[in-house]
Amino acid sequence: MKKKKLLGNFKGFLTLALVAILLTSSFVFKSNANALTSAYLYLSRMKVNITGAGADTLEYVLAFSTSQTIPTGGTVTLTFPDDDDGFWCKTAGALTVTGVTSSSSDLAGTNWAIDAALPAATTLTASCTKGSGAGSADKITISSVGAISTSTTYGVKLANGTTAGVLGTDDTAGNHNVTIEVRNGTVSDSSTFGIRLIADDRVVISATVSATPSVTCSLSTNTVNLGSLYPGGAFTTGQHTISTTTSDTAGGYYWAVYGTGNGTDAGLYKSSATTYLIPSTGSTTVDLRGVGTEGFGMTASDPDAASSATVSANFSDGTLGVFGALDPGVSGAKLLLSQQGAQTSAESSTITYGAKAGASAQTGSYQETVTFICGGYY
Amino acid sequence: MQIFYIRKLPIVVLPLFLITFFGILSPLKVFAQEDVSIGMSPTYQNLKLQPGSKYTGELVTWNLSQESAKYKILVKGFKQIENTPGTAVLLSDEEEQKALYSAASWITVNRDTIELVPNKNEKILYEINVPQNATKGEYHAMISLISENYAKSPDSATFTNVSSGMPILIKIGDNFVESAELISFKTTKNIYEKPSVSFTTIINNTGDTHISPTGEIVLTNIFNKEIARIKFNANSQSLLRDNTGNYTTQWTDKLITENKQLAIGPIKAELIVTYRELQPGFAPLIAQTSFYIIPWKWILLFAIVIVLIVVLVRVKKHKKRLNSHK
Repeated sequence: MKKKKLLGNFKGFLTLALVAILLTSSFVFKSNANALTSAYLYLSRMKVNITGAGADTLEYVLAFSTSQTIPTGGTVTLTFPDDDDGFWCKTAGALTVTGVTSSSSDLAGTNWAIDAALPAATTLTASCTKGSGAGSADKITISSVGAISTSTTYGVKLANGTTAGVLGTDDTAGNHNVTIEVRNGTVSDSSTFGIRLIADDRVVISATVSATPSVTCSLSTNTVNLGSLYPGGAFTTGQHTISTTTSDTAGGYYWAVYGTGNGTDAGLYKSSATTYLIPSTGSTTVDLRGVGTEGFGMTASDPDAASSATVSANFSDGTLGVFGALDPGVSGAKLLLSQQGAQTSAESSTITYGAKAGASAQTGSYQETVTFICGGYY
Repeated sequence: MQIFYIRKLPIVVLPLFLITFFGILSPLKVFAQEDVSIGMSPTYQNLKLQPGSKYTGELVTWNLSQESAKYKILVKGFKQIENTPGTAVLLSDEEEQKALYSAASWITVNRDTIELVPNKNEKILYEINVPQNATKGEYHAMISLISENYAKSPDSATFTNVSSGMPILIKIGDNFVESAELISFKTTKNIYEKPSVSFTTIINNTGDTHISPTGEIVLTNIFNKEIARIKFNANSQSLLRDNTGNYTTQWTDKLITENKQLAIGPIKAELIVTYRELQPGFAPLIAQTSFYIIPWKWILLFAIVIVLIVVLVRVKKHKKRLNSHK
């Protein structure tokens, strides 16, 4: 009985002791480690296997805010996955560290926007160390960090050192967990989050300037109003321009024209009753200078005077009142203007239409559709 | 009751009037004056295909005007414009029916019309299917775009369309006959005041394929010294089979030419042209012409100066004689 009682007392004592230990231990190992309020790590490249050499270099921008004040003289540590040894810290040594007040990854108005550059207790220093085997990972440590206050997001940029430390990325695409810890003694905030690497982070945009010849042809308008024609009166005119550009590989350009008229002859046509045609007759030119003449035609000005563009003789604007005659339909197309040799800047010619109604012309509205054909030589 | 109708009438008529008024006006706004523009590349295509073969290609077009424009796409045979080598205009429907070497029926394009918005490239894809029974020869067709003009005008007016196309020359088979004859080689005038001379050469293509004649014109002066060597058909304008082409060559220089020779008096011009792809040296086209360069203004000025000097000398002598008599 006594033995049983003793055992019972011992059990009660043990229970009390365990409860006491549990309660007291929570005070002895009281942790000041919290999670960071916010953090982001921006990598200038997210491609796998960045070597850090030559043009294949990498920069980090770390932004974080803590949930508690971290006293001055602390450190900021970035710890990479244990399996990635030697990839994030390609060459161990001192890194270039700079406090930054903004980065391209800032999300304005949130905790993920840098408010202030990471302060220095004296001067910020940073170094990276390579992990080796299990339990030892690549690590970047920023030292001599000034006092960190809550509600402020601090920014710091890390880059290759001038002599030794070289940053890189792991050789495997996908998610890689990084732990960021801000610590001074027992006071620390930390968070772990994933950063993603991809096989290739650059899109190569390529374009080839074609060597094949090209030509661009423009008309300044699709309608030219000729105003009122007075039967037996003087001729009226209307104008627009045509312009041409070719690639320097083109052998030249040409323009040809044809009219529509009444389908049989080109000219200004009144299609409503009583129909009437002010014709563009004559195989070469239409002379509207004489009394009692009637007709329709057009001229083109020389785009470059002394240079290589040539207006066909019939369409020359050399004589006021004399215009080139048009023929109807595509089969009646006549050469208007041509140039041997490329024209790399736009060159314009003024087209002038001349029309005169004879005394017997019917009253009404007359219209003609002129089609300009343009192309490069083959 | 009558009063009611009269009062209500404006309420009924007004909307009708407005609808009619704006209904009439709105088309006028839509069909306003617009600039039109079309560009394309390539400007031509030379192909060598076999019977039964298929070829696919693309024609890139663009519009550099400020307005979108609708173009109709036509595929037809083509011909030269007024004996100008290297130019092309679609055949009319009648001409197309008679054309022995039109390849229009071999070509299909992926659309009949195209809306070209400003400053954007658009591709027209085409496919050429050469019939199995196609006989040896050179066939032609052109993929052409022509603007559609919806403009209206209540007045007398001229409406304009623009059209541009890509001629395609398709050779079927081998061993083509390249043959040509020189019809004429001459200058536009016999006498020029200065070395600004235009040569017109007319060549007739009598072979069964197009040719691109090339060569030079050599000019020599009265002392038989070469004063210039001008390239003939520098831009390789092609001449279609069964066609005649007028080639214009311009020569511009100074009276003392670039190679320090005197370009005055009678000038001899010798043309030598080759046109064959194989053995181009065989059967060249050769011709000769001559013209004069007489800088009559300079000659007149020179003569006046001489006469003045002579007159002055004589006057002086006469005065001297008079003085000695005194």
